[in-house]
Amino acid sequence: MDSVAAHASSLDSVAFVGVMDFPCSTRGQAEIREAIKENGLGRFVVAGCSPKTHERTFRRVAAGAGLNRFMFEIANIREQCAFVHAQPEATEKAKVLVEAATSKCRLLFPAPYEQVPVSSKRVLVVGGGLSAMIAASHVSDQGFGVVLVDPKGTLDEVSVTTTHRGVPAEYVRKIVKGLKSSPSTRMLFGAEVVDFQGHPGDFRALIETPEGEEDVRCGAAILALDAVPFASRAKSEDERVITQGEFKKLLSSQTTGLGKVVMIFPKDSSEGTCGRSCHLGAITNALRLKELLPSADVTIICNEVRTYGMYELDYRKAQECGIRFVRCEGEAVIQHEGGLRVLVTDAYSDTTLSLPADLIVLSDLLKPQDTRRLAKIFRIPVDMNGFLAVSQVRLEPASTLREGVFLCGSATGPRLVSEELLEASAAASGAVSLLSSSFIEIGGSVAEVDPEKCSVCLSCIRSCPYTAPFINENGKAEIDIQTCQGCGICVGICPSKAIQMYGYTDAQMEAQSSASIRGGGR
Amino acid sequence: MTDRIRIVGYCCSYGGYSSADLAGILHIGYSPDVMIIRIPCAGRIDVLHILRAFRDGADAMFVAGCLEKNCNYEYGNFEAKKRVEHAKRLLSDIGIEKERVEMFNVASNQRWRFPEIVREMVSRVEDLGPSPLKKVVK
Repeated sequence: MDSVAAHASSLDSVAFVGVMDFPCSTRGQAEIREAIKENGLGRFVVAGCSPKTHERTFRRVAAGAGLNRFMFEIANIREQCAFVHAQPEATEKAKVLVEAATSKCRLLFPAPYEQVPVSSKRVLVVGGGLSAMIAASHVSDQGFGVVLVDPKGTLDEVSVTTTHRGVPAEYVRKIVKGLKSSPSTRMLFGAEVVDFQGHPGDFRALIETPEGEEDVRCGAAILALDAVPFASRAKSEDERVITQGEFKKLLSSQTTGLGKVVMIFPKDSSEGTCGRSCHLGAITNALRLKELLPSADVTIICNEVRTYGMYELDYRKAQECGIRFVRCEGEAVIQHEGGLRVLVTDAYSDTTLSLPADLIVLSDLLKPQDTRRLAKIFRIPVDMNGFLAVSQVRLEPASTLREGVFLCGSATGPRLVSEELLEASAAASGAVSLLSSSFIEIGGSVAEVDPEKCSVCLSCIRSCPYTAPFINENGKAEIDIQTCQGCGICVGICPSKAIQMYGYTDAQMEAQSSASIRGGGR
Repeated sequence: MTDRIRIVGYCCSYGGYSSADLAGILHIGYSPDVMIIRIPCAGRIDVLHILRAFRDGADAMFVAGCLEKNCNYEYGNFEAKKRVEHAKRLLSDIGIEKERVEMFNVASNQRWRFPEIVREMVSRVEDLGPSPLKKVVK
């Protein structure tokens, strides 16, 4: 440690070097603050843990010492040096790392920083299905206002059916009743969101209601839209070819004429998506038929079977009670003339099977509706099938690339009902935790355009995942720092080098790189 | 200038850098010849950064971003890949082996992956020898 400190002291423009056990501890922080004040330092380097651990702590230290909170640099001499290298290389490398961080630190300049108050404590929920209800009720239960925009006005319909896709009607009715009686909840039926502006904590939505346009302020938004199931092209006029939904209804009334049933799982195509919900639905129906009519001959034609977790037990049960699963490659062909038949090539034996059928059941495909229009209004991405895209499925479920906008419902992809319920809760808690904070921090490592250099080529506008850049009234690109998430994609792509990024300018990165290569060992 | 190998790794904060941190926490060692530079996203990388690393005397350099289709910033790693490919072409034009530059995709929980990348780059430099530019760098 002492030799690293000695090396640091020998570097240009280093005025003070302190050695301490834990700079991140309260005492360490106080020592740094004191050193800054006593020596009139303008910036500092911390050599210690990964910035991932304590970057925020040192931002507070900088702010507490009267500096801009981004005027420091961390040299990671622990996780990326001491822990992985043997002596004496580790010490030598630590010297270089400190030198590199110092070279970069020398070039830092104050970054913009603002605390924006969360001024609206209301959540906009868009959608009229189960997810929308659950999300709205969770938000409302935690004491925040809700504006529910239901484009189709189907919320009432949902409450009258006995069970809603496996969720007890009693539960659904209770939730709808709770929402309707809550004084902080407003419901706009048959309404559409036509514009959505602002930043987390203070969005403005323009909503078209049957009574006219309305301006609604909200702190966060939840898009709880459902994809619409529809029959695939293979479904024809033939009454013997039906969908899983129709088959389920049929099973509740009769089982005659169901001796030979062939189910076909569709392949994902441009037409629509078939997910685990359709696979599980088909297996549930097949098992039900076997229960009612054990002599029934059921064949399921599939490419793969997606029944994860405990649902694998259903799949196993289906196999045990004699339901045949045929893996096919290519399309299954339905023959209508001369007795209903399905022609399919078995992937394992590579032979063509001709399966006679009394009834052919096709799975419904799911297709998100209206998502592209809404995605444009809310400035969030959609995937290639038109489903709304969640930013990080594992780390931030229900979040989108736009902070403050959350997602749930099957318009984000085919889902089981249990998953929809979970996701609606996740979206609600995301929105609530955002609104619970009193302010939102903006600034830091954001990109900025130098209007002198900007040639208005629109590269930044095209490449930004967040739609932060826009063309301002002077006809030059400008980056909205509230929207900018600091990825730096536009900085690297700008052909005029007009964009720089606080904390990661070309000069800073090159200084660090250069010192990393040449540093140490003097 | 000493004779030791120098490899610069621009690591994205979410993928490469986190993976290196995790390797550190688990004490999975790798060559000290690699110098990690943190960038917010692999998409921040510029062809110039790659070229200047060689001008400064690096023997090799790599960019470590998130896994494809799993970028924290949606497609920053694809942008980075394009730029790395471009840099490879430029370097081969001036007679520097394009194997000295590489784009890697790492997830933050792949503890073995970062040391693996370092081994890969070190072995490439051992095969190719020091960078031809090193002699002229003062």
